Amino acid sequence: MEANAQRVEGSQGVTPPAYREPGDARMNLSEDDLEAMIEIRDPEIDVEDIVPQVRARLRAQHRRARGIGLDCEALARGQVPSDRASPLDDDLEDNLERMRASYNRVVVDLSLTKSRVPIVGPLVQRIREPLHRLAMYYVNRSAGRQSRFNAYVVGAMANLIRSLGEENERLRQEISRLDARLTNLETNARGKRE
Amino acid sequence: MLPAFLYGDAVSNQAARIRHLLRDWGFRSRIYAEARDHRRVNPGADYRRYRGSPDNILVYHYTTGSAMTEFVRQLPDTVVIYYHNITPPEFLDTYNAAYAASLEQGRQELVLFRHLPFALAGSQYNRQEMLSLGFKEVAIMPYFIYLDELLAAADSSAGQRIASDYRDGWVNILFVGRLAPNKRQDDIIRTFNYYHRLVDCRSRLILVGSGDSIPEYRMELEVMLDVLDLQHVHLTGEVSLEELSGYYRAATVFLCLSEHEGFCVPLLEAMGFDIPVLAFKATGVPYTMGQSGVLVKRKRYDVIATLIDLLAHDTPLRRDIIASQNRRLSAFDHDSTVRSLHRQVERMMQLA
Repeated sequence: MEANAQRVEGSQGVTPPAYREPGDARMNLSEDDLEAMIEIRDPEIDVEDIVPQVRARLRAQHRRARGIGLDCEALARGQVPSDRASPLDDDLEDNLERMRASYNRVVVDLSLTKSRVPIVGPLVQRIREPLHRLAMYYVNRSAGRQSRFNAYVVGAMANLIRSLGEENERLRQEISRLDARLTNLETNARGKRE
Repeated sequence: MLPAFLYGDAVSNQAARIRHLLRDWGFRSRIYAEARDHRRVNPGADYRRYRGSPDNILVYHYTTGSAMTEFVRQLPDTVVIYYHNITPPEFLDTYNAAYAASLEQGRQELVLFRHLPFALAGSQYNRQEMLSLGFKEVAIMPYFIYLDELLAAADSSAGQRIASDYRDGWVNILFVGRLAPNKRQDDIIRTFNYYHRLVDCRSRLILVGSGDSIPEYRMELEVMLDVLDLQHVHLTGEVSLEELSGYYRAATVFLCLSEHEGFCVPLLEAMGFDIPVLAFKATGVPYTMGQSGVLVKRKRYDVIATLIDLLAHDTPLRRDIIASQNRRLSAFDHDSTVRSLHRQVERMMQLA
């Protein structure tokens, strides 16, 4: 995460947003971690006074999340909380979770190994890098289109699953009601025979 | 002269205000642009109709790559670049390749003007960038902040309607800025996701700004909201001045997680409405904030949400932060900005 923070400080060479790891998921932040993260430049306000309050509230939030079955780590990482009974089996739910987490991670980064050719190595590197970047430019344009398509698919799946879940719940309640009515009818019929 | 003279755009507003003041001081001043928004009362003229003269001073508002650059370079005028910063093209590569290419062109062509004896920058951040590219003398020309107009507009019927619609005891988290990848409204949504589910469910997120310039990004945000099954997020689109003021009046906390800003005028506008500002420390944002507000150096959504919680209620921290912001605003009062413009005009006259 520190490397990520350093990447975004400057105005150059920033990795496009959709393709970064969203946040550091380590849950137990120390007071030093928080002091390093929060900056208040007004000399009248001391960050050290705020940090214990932040830590206490974070702990309370983690307890609340556990109590209601929410995945606090997923939320802290900006992902979908697993807070409701899924109408799907575990394997399908896992695959959907992976899809949600990765639908927009299609862009390629520069991955150029250093040339070990003696003497002319730096020259070789200077030629290879722009060629790689040129290829990346066209690949990433296509990747962007793929990402748009993936987003449509993920959105459609999310809506479909939600609709299925609502329909399942409606049908479950209907079945429950019919069961109760059937039981009632059977009880009445038995009573009349007796 | 500027590539696009738009309605409601910070650079366009700055150009219009400068034109107005120059005319007040007795100068003849016109705006020339490539794209002109006719919602403006005086939308300027097409830049190709401009006839240069060695007696003229031409202020070129530099915001992106444009055919205008080559046109300006051929003019006999005393040219002064006024740099408003250019979004790094990497943010736009996968959304709009043509737009990204024009941004890249803009960044590369900026150095073509570094031989000029004098230039202007909208912020200290922009100035430092110009000096690093080899510009010799760069003065800061601050942005005019229209706080009086905004505060007056909040009392309009539209402003009051919006403020009362949202004045229900809920925490209203606000960001103002066009929907753009560098402004990271997606990170704001992730933060709100955490805040709404684990901190305070009586909360809403209001993102004010047009999604028209990069519709693909707006679509991604809408998909994100579907995937997260997140309610109470309002993407308002473009709004009028009166409506904008209403949103400021309704806001509890202003949250900015931008990863590239040359200046970010809404930070100061929020301060003008006594809204505590919480922002990610990147590029021009810390320069604009000065010694006010709260900055975060890493994007931990739980920590940011917790800071929102501390700022949203009537706590000593909220009061202290608002006080620090009021002190910061005094550096941008109208009279001192006018004086700054006057100094820069005098300097330009010396060069002409």
